[in-house]
Amino acid sequence: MTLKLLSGNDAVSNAVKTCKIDLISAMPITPVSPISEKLAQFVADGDLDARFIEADGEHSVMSILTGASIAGCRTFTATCGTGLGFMCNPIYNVPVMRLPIVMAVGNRPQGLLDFLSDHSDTMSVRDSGWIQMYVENNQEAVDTVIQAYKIAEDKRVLLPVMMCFDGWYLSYLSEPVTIPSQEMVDSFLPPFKPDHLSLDPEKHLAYGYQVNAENYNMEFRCKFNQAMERAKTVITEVGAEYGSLTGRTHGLVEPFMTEDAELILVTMGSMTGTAKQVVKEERAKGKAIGLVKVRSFRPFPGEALMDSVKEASIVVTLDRSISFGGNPPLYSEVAATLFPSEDRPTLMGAYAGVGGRDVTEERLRELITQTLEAYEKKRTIKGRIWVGFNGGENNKVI
Amino acid sequence: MSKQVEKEMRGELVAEGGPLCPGCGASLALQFALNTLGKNTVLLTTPGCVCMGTLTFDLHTLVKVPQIFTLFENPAAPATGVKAGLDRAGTEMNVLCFMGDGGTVDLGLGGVTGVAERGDPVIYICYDNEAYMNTGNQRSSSTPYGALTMTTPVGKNLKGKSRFKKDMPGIMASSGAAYVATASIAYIDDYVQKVRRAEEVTANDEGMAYIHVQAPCPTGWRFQTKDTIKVARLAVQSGLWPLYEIYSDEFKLTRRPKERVPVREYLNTQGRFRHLSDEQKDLIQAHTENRWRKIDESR
Amino acid sequence: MKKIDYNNLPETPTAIKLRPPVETGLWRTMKPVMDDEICVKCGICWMYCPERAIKKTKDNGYKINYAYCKGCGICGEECPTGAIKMVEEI
Repeated sequence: MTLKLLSGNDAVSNAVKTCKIDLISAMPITPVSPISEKLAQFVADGDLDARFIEADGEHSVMSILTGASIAGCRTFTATCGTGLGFMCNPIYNVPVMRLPIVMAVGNRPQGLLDFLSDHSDTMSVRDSGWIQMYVENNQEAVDTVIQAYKIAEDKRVLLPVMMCFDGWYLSYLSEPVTIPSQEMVDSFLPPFKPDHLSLDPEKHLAYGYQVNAENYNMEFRCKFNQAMERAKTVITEVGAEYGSLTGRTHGLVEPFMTEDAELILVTMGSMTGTAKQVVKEERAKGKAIGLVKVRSFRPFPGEALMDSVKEASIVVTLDRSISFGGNPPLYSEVAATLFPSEDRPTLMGAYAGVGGRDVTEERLRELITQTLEAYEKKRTIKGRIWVGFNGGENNKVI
Repeated sequence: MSKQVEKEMRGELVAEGGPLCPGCGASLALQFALNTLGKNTVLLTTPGCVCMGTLTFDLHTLVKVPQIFTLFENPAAPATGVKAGLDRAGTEMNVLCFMGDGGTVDLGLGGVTGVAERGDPVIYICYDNEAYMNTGNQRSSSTPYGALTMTTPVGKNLKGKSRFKKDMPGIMASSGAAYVATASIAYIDDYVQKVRRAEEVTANDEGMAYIHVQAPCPTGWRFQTKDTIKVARLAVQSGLWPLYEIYSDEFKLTRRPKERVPVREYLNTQGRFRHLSDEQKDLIQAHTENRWRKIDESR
Repeated sequence: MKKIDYNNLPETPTAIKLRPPVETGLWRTMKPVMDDEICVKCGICWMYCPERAIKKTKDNGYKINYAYCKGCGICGEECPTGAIKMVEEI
């Protein structure tokens, strides 16, 4: 296994090449356009035995993948931001039909014309039933794409997976990565053989069938939710198996220096890398700071997170997206997880990296200072902390 | 005529006792499309009359072929995926999209023309009942000029639809569909021949086959249920619904009325045109004459 | 009250079985009656029935299946010899 210097887009494309994909369809969209280009080139050169379908829009992309998946194909696409918005309608059908499609999403803002990194695109579809995994760096992106097929196609799960990697910060960043060998991936990923999908004329099955209030809607939704819950076990199992083959184990969450931590940061995505560096330095100075990276946002790993943070005094969540008029997604999930426990840590919420604003070490250090001070004085902070607001090093509390 | 048609039937694939209206034109269009193609077909439908007419509550099916219910606004794209998947597995089956005018001409236009441009060998039949009938007769861009619908009503300020319908077969021909045809349920032998031709074209991997069949709706167009075939026949005989096919860039009429009857005869059969003034009827006549002049000049 | 068995649901909403037949013949208010003496066995009624409620018989004639005929009247209207007449049904 050799190290190659690859951008996130190229790393993901190379990982997909090893997964014996049957059909790819993708549209150009900054910052993940190179994925569609790279995969088309692989197909053109015969390096990847797949069909590359030139689609006329992300809506058609997801519809094409839906049809192909029902016909028994292993499929892949990549999109982000407004592209994800355009495929919103077909996206809701995919988990309901239990189609194990894998999609790389290069997180980009929805709403404002902004090309940099933000989680508002995937957060806006967090209720759809897609498994969502947020990766820290390009190596984890490679590992997660390969694991995603195993997780999605597991008979206990049968749900699609979004591999979320921050646009620009990961997609255009070149890092040394190891692409696993074809032999390793072949031994790790069994061929795709769905039992619940068949276009046999003798069986004449009808998919996407109607259900309504008195006819199974509630029961089917319960069934899909149970599949999501089972996915937690599967994600851990698959991560462990992959770890034994490559030496890199990723689970639902990754605690980092959380032993005897007084303050724990909870992060997702690429800002974790910077945050880990700050935590190391603060620890060297004697401060009891720790970090938990949430890798699987859906299904949300409540128990695993609780285990990592229950001894701390302060938990600070960093959200890269805003839910206007309400609480941001990661903060809400952590709050709901902590609430039932009687001696729960104090929870404070921060907005970091919204719209792609750089989450620098200085701003994180300022965040740590602010939250510790607030805890000393009043045990809590009124409002949310906007990291890097107005462009300076001072984070504003609003 | 019926003996010819009978020979082409490969089975009766729609179960009896379906929920469509008595005298439904779309029902005939569906029956003959499926029965001509046979069991070895994957059927894709979107929400609409035919879709709601081929499903039930409590998870039972009404057609004896595999079926996929897609979203309203993406009728054709899943068919691309299904065809690609079947090819990959080495299975040969017809892929038939059977969609209404609302989903084809309005919502799904991008997706449908995308399939034509890509050349995916999918058979696409648009049954045109000239409105969003299943939701209660609201206008679509395939509703003809002057028609009364619930969203182009007749009153002091509005007098029915004020624009002519989109030329969907023309759009498909210029988007790269390999075979484009119009059909009518009054001429079933012509329709069945075109479905058979569509099957040939797609089996030879030449590209997309598109058939636009007029499906008169007694409920929405407001005529007696016994007159469905009569109305469809008048549409063809008055020249309002020319029957043609376009293949290899060649335009060919498959039925030519010897002498076109006045368009008024067709308009007078339907309640949705009852409010039309003489000027409006003359306008429709002129529009039809103009269309036929272009057809004749191009030959 | 409808009973749904959660434990017996398929992975995704899928229709597996053909629906038990529904007697749509009950919809009718007018009934088509065929006079076999006048019928010339042209098959036009068979062709134009939207419900496929007219079936071919062994001697190449045609018979109406009243269980599913909705009484639309197309067969009566299109029959070239007047062999089918629509009769009021109470």
